[in-house]
Amino acid sequence: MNKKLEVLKKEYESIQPSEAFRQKINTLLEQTPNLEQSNQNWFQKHKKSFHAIAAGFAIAVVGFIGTLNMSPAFAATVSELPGMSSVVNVLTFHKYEFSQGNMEAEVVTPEITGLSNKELEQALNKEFQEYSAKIIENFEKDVEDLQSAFPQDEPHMGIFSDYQVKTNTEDYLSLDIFVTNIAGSSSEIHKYYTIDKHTNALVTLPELFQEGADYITPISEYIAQEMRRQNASGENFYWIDYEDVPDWNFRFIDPNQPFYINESGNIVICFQEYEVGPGSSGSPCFEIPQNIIKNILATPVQSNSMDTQSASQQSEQLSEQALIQKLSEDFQQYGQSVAESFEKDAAMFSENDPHMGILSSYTVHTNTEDYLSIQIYTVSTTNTLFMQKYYTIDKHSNTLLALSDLFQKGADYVTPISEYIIQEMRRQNASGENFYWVDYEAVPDWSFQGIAEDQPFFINASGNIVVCFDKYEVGPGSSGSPCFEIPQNIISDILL
Amino acid sequence: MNNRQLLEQLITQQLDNAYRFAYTYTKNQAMSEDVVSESVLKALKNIHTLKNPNYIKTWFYRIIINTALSYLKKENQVIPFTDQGEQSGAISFEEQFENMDLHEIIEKMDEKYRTVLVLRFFEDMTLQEIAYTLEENINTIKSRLYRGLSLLKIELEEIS
Repeated sequence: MNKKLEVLKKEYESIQPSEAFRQKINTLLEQTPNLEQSNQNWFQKHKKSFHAIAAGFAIAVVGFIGTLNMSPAFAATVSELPGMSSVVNVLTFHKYEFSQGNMEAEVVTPEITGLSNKELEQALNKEFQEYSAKIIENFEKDVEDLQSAFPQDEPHMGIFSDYQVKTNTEDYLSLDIFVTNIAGSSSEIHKYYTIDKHTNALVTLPELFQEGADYITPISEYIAQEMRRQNASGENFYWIDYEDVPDWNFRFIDPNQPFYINESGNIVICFQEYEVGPGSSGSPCFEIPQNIIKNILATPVQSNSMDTQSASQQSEQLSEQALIQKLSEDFQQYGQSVAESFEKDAAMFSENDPHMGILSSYTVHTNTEDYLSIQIYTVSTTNTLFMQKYYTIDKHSNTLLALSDLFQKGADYVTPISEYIIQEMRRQNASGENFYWVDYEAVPDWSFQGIAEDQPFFINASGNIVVCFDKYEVGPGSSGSPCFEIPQNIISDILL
Repeated sequence: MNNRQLLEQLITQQLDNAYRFAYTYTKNQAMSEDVVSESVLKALKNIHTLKNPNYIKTWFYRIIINTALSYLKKENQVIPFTDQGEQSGAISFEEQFENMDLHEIIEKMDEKYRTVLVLRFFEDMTLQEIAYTLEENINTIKSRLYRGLSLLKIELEEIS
């Protein structure tokens, strides 16, 4: 290995953790329960300790939530006034902060404004404030109790409460208020509120469906199937088909299961922590596809009530808007990160007045009836900053294309393109046109092996795919940021 | 050996490395200890999500990176740049780096480049393993490594 690297490696190896830290990690390893081996014991124990540790506190909060829980009756009494549409907003009303030793609290109280149904607005805001007050009161009492019980110790305890606006569309406002409680282990409680802006009323789950319709079965079946899928893929872990403790298995949602309505207008069903899986599974939510419940929804799905043409027109407009929004966000982010890197470099060397410059610009590679391909790029005199991004838009579907979108589903495009590029690199190396790391015996593992599935590309004026690499990706700096036009005949069989 | 046992073995045997690696982000003892403890806890809790036991090391290192980055973000830690003494006149960016000693360069280097250098040469990971750890493709890893090496003024041919 290179001498400079050897020196650095020695220096690296001289960093050593302390003996006390080593022991701490060993204790961690011994004491953290093994989920795989003793699922059953651990859950039983965990459930118990969850209540025991947080005794006065967690139970009080859970009990309080019980009384707050939105029953259809409560929703009805506060939503009788007729509505007018207005600008509804959620603001932070109050923030409580407490920090002393290892005890910490942060309780944020939201406030809804602009509801035309003032009675509902007041009732909700009062409920939010009382909820926060209760959390704070319990926390302060716990702090006192712990301090008098263990005057020598600094017990770890924390409570964090905040809110999130899930949706604020023309039709619905959905709000999630959540509390995280850390006392030994941590726990989380969510409360969801959805307001229908047309009726100016709180929405309950049964109200979303036709009277008497069975929504519990189809939704539960869908969720069970989705849980099995996520268990199998390893995305998350739920108690379903859980043979060790059959009692814990998920079967049905509650008729008043917490839910919210997302930006696309779909119902999202939510569970509390530990309701359908261990703590590490979090507080999971499931978006329910429209086709599962469209026949029993109280308000028919919008696109059904429109003629097909206007429906497709609307969806096209929507996707165009979404695309424009995504792109402008992307461009802004890109510009920002360029500016940030530049400022960072400049600040680092400001004392010495170095020569530095960057240039950021864009090129339109194609603008045909079918495609728009653009490249944004940044070059820098310092050489430490060079960035570029390619975007190709399919003008018919108004979507951003990835390389894989150009080929038949499941087709192997990586191999033929990579083989072609390797051959072209060899040709250019031999002719002296450019130099690439291919068949590079000096450092074999640097040799180009193949393109990535999502390799950057653009479509050129003749409609050919051009695959591109960043600087240093396939050759030294002097080789630039090379691109390779892929001849049609190489991929004609697998193109869409 | 099941995944849990594999993980315990990895942590016990490579605790020093994990600690050093965290240290390259945090540059201080207390925070490195916090980062590693939290990473160990996260790994133990989520070991059931590890699909292929062959990737246990890259999987664990990814947890360390994510944990370290979120710590730095929380602390809003900016590593101060020490004064370079008296130098006058305009000099280029590259010359600036020339005037630093090696470990200083590696410390000042953008985290992206530093991490691949550390993983490749100090932790002896292969390019493929680094690609898995950082969830980037192998060509991107090469590109970052090359830039890192060129800042250290090391030729590619010298490293094999």
